[in-house]
Amino acid sequence: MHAILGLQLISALVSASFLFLLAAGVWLVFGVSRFLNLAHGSLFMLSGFLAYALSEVLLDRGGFWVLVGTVPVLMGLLGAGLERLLIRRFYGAPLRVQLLPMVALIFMISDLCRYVWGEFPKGVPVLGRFGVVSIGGVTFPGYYAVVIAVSGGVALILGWIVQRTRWGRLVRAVAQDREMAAACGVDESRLATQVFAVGTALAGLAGVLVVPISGASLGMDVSAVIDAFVVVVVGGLGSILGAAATAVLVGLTQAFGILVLPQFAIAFVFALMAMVLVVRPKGLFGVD
Amino acid sequence: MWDARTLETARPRAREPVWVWLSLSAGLLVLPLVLPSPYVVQAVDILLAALLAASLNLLVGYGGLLSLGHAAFFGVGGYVAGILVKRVGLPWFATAGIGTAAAVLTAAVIGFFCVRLAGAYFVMLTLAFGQLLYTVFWKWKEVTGGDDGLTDVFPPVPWTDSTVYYYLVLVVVGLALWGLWRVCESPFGAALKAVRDSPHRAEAIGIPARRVQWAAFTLSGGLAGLAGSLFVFHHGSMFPKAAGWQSSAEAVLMAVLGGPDRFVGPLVGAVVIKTLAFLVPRATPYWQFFLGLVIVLAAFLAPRGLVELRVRRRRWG
Repeated sequence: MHAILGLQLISALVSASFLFLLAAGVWLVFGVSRFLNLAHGSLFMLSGFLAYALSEVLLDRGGFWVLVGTVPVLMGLLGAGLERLLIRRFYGAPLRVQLLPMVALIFMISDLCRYVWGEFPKGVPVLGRFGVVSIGGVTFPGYYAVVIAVSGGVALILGWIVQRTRWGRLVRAVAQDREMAAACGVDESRLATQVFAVGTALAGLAGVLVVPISGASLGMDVSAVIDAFVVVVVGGLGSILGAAATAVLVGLTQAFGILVLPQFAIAFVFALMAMVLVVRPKGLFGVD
Repeated sequence: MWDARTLETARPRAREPVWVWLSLSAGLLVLPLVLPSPYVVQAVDILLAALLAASLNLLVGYGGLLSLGHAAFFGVGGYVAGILVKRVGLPWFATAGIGTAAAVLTAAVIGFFCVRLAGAYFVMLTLAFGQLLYTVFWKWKEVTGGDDGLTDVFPPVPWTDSTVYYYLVLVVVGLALWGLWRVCESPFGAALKAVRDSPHRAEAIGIPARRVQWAAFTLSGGLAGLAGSLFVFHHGSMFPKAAGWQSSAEAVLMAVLGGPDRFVGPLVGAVVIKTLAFLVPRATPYWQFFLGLVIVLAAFLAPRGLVELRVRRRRWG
C-alpha cells in the first residue's frame, strides 16, 4: 500500500509537470493578449511528433538534451511566425471570431500530423538511459525525476522572470492595462509576439518531454488543451507559482482518482473544478 | 489589426418576403421525391444539423455565450433514447422524449456552473464538461458500447424508410425551429440579448442575468438533445464521436460561419458545412485540412457570417 501511494504521488507530480508547462503557455498568452489559444494542445502535439522526427538525427549525434533544447526553440520560432501572420489579426475581435482561426489550426495541424507521421503513435525510446530511482522503498524510472526537476526549474525561472526582470514587468503591465502600458511607451505588439513565442516554446518543451513516456499520438492535442484549461480555470489568473500549485493539485486529484475509479478518474478533476467555481469563481489564486 | 466597426451587433432586421418561405417549404416537401435515397439520408442529417446549430445559436448569437460542449447534449439525447430502446425495450417515440428530457436535465446541471463564468472562461468550461460527457459515452462500455458504438436501434417499420423518416424529422425540426424562433423574438429573447450587450445595465433594469442565461443554456441543450434522439433512430446507431468536441466545433462553425446575428444564419451554415463534409471527404482523406483553410478564409472575408455577405452584396448592387 505504501509503495502504491508513493508511486501515485510520483506520477501525480509527473502529470503536474506537464499540466504546468501547458497551462503556463495558455495563461501567459491569455494574460497579455486576452487571446484564448485553443490550438495550444495542437502545438504540443506537433512538438511531440517533431521530437520524434528529430530524434532519429539528434539522438545519436548530440544526445537527448540537445533534442530537449532544439524542439522548444523551433516551436518558439513557429509560434512567433504564427502570431505575426495569423493570430495578431484577431486580437480584440469578438470571441466567436477569434475561435475560427484557432479551430482551423486544430484541424490543419491534426491532418498535417496524420499526413506526415501516420495514424500510429510514435515514441522516443530513451527511458532506459535514465535508469531507476529508489526513494524510501518507492522505485520509479529516473526519467520521471528528470521531468519533475525540469518543470519545477522552469516554474521557478519563469516566476523569477515575470516578477523580477524588466521584461516581466512589461508583461505584467500590459496584462494589467494594455492601453496605459502602450501610452507609457511599451511596444505591446512586439511583446505579444514574444509572449506567444514563449508560450509555444513551453508547449514544445512539454511535447519533447512527454514523448519518451507516452509517445506522440493524434488526439493528444485536445486532451492536452482541456487539461491546460482546467488548470487555468481552477487556478485563475494570478501568479506563475499559483499556476504551478494548481497543476500539482490537479495532478494529485487525477492520480488518486485513478486509484478509486480507474475509468472515470477525470470526474474527480471536474468535481474539484465545480467546487472551485461555486466557492471561488475567479479561481484559487485569481486576482481581479 | 481588428476593426471593431465590422461587427456592431445592432442592425435593422430584413424581413424575408413570403414567397421565399413558401418556395422553401415547397422545396423541402418535394425534396425526398426527387432525390435518390442516399441523398435523402443526407438531407435528414442536414435538417438535424440545422436544429443543432440553431439551438446552439441561442447561446452564441443571442446570448453571446460561446459553448464548445454543445454536441455533448446531442449525445445525451441520442444515447439515452438509444439505450432505453436497446437495453430496456421501451417504445422508441417515448424514449425520444425521455432522451430530450435527459438532455434538458443535463444542460440544467452543467449550465448552473457554466453561466457563472463569462467570455473565455465560459468557453473553457463548456469544452471541459463536454469532454467529460464524451468520456462517459466512450468509456462506459457495458452500457454505451464504447468505441464500437450503440448499434441496432432502428425504429419499427415504416419509420426505417428514409423518406418517411425525412417527413417526420421535417415536421419535428420545423416545429422546434418555429418554437425557438418565437423564443428568440419574445421578451425572454430580448432579455437574453440585453444581458449579452450589457450585463450590468440588464441587472439594473431588473433582468436576472444569470437566470436568463441559465434558462437559455437549458433550452439550448434540450433542443440539441431532441436532435440527438432523432439522429439515433435515423442511423440506428450512435458513436461517441458525435458527442465529442469536433462535433461541438462543427456546430459552432455552422453558427458562426452562417451568421450568428440572424436566426437563419446557422441554418445556412448547417447546409453549407454539412454539404462540404459530405462532398470533400470523397476527394481527399485530409478534408479537415481543407475545412481549416475554408474557415481561415471565412474569418477574414466574412467575419459576420455568410448571411451578411449576401445582404451586403444586395445593398451594393
